[in-house]
Amino acid sequence: MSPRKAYVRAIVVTRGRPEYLARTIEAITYQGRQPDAWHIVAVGADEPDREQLGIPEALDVELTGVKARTFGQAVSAVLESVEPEEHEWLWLLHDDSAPLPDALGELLAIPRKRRRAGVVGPAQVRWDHVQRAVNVGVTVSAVSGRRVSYSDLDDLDQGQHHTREDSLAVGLAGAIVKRSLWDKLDGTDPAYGRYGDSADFCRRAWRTGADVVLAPKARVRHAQAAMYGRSDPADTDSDHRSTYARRRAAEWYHGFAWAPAWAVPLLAVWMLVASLSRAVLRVASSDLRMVSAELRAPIVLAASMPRLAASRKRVARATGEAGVVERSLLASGIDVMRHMRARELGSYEQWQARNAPKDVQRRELSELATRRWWAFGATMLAAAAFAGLLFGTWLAPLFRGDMIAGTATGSTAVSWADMWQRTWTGWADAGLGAPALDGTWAALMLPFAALPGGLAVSIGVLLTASPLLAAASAWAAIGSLSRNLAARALGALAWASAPTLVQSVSDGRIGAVLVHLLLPLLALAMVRAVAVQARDQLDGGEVFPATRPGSPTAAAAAAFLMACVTVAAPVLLVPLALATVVVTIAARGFRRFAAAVAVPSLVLHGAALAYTWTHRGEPGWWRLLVRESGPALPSDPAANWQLLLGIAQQPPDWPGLVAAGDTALTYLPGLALLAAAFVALASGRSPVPVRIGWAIAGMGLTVAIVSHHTVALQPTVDGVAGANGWPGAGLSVMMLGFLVAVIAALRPAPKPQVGLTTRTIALREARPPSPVPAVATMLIAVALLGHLVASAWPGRPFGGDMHPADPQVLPLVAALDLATDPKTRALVLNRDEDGAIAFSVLTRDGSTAMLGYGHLDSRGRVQQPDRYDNGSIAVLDQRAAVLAGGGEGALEALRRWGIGVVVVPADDTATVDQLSRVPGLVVMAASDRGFTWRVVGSTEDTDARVTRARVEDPELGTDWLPVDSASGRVAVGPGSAFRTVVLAVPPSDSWVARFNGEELESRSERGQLVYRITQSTGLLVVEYHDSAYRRWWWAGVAALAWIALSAIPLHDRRFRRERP
Amino acid sequence: MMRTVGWVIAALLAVAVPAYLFTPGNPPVANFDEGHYDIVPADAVSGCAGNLALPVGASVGDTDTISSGSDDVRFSAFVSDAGAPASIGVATATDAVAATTIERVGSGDLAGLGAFSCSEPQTETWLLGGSTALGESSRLVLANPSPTPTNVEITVYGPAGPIDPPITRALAAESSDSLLLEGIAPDLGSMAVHVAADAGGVVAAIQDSRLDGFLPVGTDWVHPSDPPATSMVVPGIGPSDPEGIDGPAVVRLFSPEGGFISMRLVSTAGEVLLAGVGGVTLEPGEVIEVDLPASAVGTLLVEATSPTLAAVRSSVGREPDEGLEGDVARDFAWVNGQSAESTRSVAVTTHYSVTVAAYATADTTMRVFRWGTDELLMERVLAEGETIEAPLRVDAGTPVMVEGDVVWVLRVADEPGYVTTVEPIDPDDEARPVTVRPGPYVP
Repeated sequence: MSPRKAYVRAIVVTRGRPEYLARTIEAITYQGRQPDAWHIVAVGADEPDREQLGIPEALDVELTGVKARTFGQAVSAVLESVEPEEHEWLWLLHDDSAPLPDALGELLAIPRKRRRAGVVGPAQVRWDHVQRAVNVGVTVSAVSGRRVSYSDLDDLDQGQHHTREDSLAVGLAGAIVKRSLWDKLDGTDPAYGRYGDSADFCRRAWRTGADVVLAPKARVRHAQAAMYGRSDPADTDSDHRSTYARRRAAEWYHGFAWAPAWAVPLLAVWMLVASLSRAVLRVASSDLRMVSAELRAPIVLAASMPRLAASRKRVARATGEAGVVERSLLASGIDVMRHMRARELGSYEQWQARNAPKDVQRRELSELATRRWWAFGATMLAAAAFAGLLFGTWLAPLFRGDMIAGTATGSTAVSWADMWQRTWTGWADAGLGAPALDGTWAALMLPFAALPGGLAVSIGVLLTASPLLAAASAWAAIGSLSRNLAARALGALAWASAPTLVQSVSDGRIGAVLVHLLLPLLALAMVRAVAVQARDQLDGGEVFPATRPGSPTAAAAAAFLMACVTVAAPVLLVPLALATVVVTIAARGFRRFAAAVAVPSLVLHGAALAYTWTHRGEPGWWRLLVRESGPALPSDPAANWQLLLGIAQQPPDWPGLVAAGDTALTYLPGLALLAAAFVALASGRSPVPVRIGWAIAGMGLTVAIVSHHTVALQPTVDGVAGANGWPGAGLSVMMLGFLVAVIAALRPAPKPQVGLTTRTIALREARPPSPVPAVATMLIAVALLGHLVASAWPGRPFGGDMHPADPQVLPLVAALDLATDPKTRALVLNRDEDGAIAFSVLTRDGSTAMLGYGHLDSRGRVQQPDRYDNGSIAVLDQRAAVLAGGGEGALEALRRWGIGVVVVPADDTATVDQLSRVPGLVVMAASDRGFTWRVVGSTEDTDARVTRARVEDPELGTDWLPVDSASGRVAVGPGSAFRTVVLAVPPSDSWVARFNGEELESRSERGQLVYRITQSTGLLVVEYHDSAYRRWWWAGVAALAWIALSAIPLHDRRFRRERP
Repeated sequence: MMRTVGWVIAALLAVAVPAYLFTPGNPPVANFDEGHYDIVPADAVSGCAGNLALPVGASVGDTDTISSGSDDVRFSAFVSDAGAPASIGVATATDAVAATTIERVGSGDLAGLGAFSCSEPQTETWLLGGSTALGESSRLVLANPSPTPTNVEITVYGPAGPIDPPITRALAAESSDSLLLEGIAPDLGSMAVHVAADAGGVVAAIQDSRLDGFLPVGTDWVHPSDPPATSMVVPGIGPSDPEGIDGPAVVRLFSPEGGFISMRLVSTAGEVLLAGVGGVTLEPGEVIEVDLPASAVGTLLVEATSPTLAAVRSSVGREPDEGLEGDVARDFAWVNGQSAESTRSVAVTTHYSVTVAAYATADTTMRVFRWGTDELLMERVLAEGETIEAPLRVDAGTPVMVEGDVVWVLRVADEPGYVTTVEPIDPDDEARPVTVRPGPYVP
């Protein structure tokens, strides 16, 4: 072909973006080789206005208005009205694709040497940066039609693409297409809409035997205005994610159109799976918008499915001899992987590269890091020594197989299966059983129970190492507030030796301990989420890292930690949620991150919140908000000023001191911290963080006072004595606040930045460094050291009653009776020091609070209030008294409630003596762990067994039913028509019994659940199923899964936008 | 303006916050009251000591030689309500609330009367009596009538304090055991035995049998005593006749913690002077015996500075069936001291001659009823400090209950000089307070 013979018809399609169009027209007029004919097609306008579109009057151009949905349709509409010329080439241009000078000449140079060239595409470059490539040809993956670019995004043009010629597809914007080919292929496929039509057209071109060639030296600035949703070049805040779903759908459409017919259904399945998994990945990268885009793509695709048959026909029509060439140009799996990697990680790598420290800084940072590691090591060593001196004696028994147990926790040897059962079913099996409000506490304990060694070891280690863990978490958190190593070390040690932590550990208040350990991490995550963390200050006055991008990952971590904290101490839910609201309002630019933090906690506490809302105004409506879910104990009265000084319970006496010394040592740390916080407030240094610290402290004190004065736990027959709330969680929050205030005030003033005015520098230099911070630090250090040494003084009791104990609590025969069918319950009578009999009904080996307390069912109905409200349960403590007094008449109630075993500790000979005289009790065994009696099944049949679930037949007698804690199934043989199934549990709607699949009608009889069986034989299934509980459970799981995925630190586009 | 408001707020806070903080705060006690109940214990099975047994087996001779055993043995059991005691090995058990066994051995080494009031098992028992001196035997009988097995720890105290180590025994449910204390702690002329048992406890008794050469000098059962108390009353002792055929009545004293003990002897004829033995000092764990001066039947009053046990052995002499001129055979009876507040009120009478020996702790009217009925068997008006001995003429096996501020015991005697005592028991049918509360079970 001779260039002289080429007839070039330029067709510019505009969508009414005059800003772009003007530049494009201008660029065309600057071409060395001018097109022979020139059309401007205004889409959507019947009679386009030249002036409005900014087309100069002098320009010889034919302006047409068409109604067209796609670029191809607009081009075809023009071509319909003009006859084809010989060797006619169409130069297809968008209004936002401005060719660089000589672009047309370079394009037309290709067909001279490539006679088969049907499509010649330019290198598309960025509108605002012509050295950066946008599109230098693309290919698609063989199966799914995924678009794979030959160049990386924003690739700098260094001539690396100049050797490229063959390309599966080129961008049609700026490309020249042989008119005959356009007509033969009937233009682009309108089914694609705005995206993916080029690839399809070029691929069909290859099919028909025409070559698609890239002309790298011909460059066209392409703004991709449609993709980015821009209307003029000045708009830089636009985002191509808005069009993602449509682009993704177009890629899949390509795959569907080109796949063999048999593969289409498989492709459909593949597409759904891929979309869902990509959506999960998007969750992990905390990109909510893209999650919805990924999920929208299949819907958009489904909408275009009616056009698929036509598209497939179009593909089928495009036949020629070049099928092999086309296939060889498709992207391989490796190409796709490389492309994805470049796209997904490229932006993070760029961010990293931009923020890498300079060589000068690097040395300084390394010195800082070395100092930091030394300080960290020393702090941890001190904290470990403190932990070892206080609780070290627990370690040997722990690894010998003992557990650490106390009145609050009960047995900590609980299997993960029990934990799972408790959280999944919503049935609290302890005592006589009760529906549960939620299973969050058991869920929180589940990971501990799943660790090697089980719950006993992991909780034991957690408690033993809690000062060390607290120091580590405080160290991390304080680092986000101050980079001063002395402040970090002192703060971490103060946090590790907090009286409230030591008291909580020794009392076994696991919830308060967890709060103390997690609270600093929550603060850290929150601070990083809203990008206000402290940064290393370098000598030059610079800070490192230079930028602080807010972190959705940190926000997700904060959400997760807040969920854990509020589950451990529900009393913190409302204050923390309110705090999140305040942060959300204050954290401009990061509101979305901050707002999401409280959501999972609110969902997890949904049942409690719903109850509180529906019962608002009633007496005690707020009580679920101050409940304790896990181990709880009543605490001694404490005055509010004692709480202010961080003391919720008087610690044991200090070694070798008189009363005044005791008082001084007890309150000194709290007093020192309070005084320091006052000084911080009065000094006026770092006013904002100091005031925030005071606000947090005020909130904490309020929580502490409120929890101290409210009933957090009601007494129940499973041995729960009832308790007021433990102020520990609130005191931890208060201490955190005071530490924030003090440490913020200790922060050094920012070093003068290079470039500050000389006057400022002069002012800074004129002021001598104040000795106050140094002196204050010294005083705090001395007070803290004194407190640490006194606390860990060898031989000093640390209070509480947590102690190593054998995990086998009950005598073996009793434990076996509870664990094997026919299952029964055990009544344990245990004489207190004051001679009163403490009774508990057990369903497992030992009382435990580690499964969490039931409180209410998920609909907020009180199932097991105090004993005076429910006759059936009130009976039990009277029966316990009768037994302990050696009286008669107690056993009938025990039998009805499935209590088949009575246990008395071996050392309580008086009670053993009394029980020995009770007719109907048969001694099973006597061992070091206690005396065990079996309750004889009935006075007539001494072999009959006492069980928790039974079938009572007036003719055939009573038979037991195999059950676990919340369900059971058994094949029932023939019997009389008046048989009943009796479940020895308090009545609840959520218990369902089915006989041969048919639901049996339940009734409450003497406080128990009774069902009548009328059919002869069949399968009896009983189950506890609380649908409201289950709905909240799944909502909680979804919320947790969401934040767990989001908390995975996948790097993402956020690195493109950052804040200094 | 803003500054002023700020100062005002700060001033208000400065007043309000301390005022609030120093308000004393009391956490609400979770609204659970302890349950307080009065519980009447079920009747327990009582244990009885069983038959007297020769300590080392019988040696049977012809009529000319001396025989240790006897073919003149009469054993009787009297119960208040339920069936007769059933054997649980060497001992017996009965469902009756009160029961008495009595055995009369007419000849041989054990010649004499021995009675025992069946009692409920106890986890802690003190036995003050018995001797392992030469010719004297103490056979400890342990009975566990309850359906619970038990472990027993026996500590023997002698004149020099406790004998280490304690002996342990395990007793199956409804079983009994006996052991000769002379095998464990020989040559103790005076002894006290402490029996500690777990579970349902045991009934413990000592068969105290003594020989003087070939002459029987008495046999009796040592009945469990009240726990040590600072004030003890021992009724129904004597007559003491140190110079005569009967020999002296002997008081045995034991104090786990030691202390000073003063004694007064009141006979039916009035207070008897205790010249030289009015006060003694005991080392902790020491057991001593003191001879009482000549007196009629009376009561010994013991006051001590620390909890103390006291028991009196009174003997009656007779001419032996065989032996030389001037030889004296004897039988004796042990009587335990009871605390002045003793609630022991019921005993079952036996055949032979039964008398009530009582001491009034206050001005009172002593009434003896047939237990469980209103049938008044005897009535006496007593002044404080008065001691009496009155025959009780009722059928054998009559359960009697004594009302009034008296400490009493039944003395049983038979010819030719056999004596024993039946100690009253506490029928234990009163409700006891029990306090319960829910509480976790943590080892």
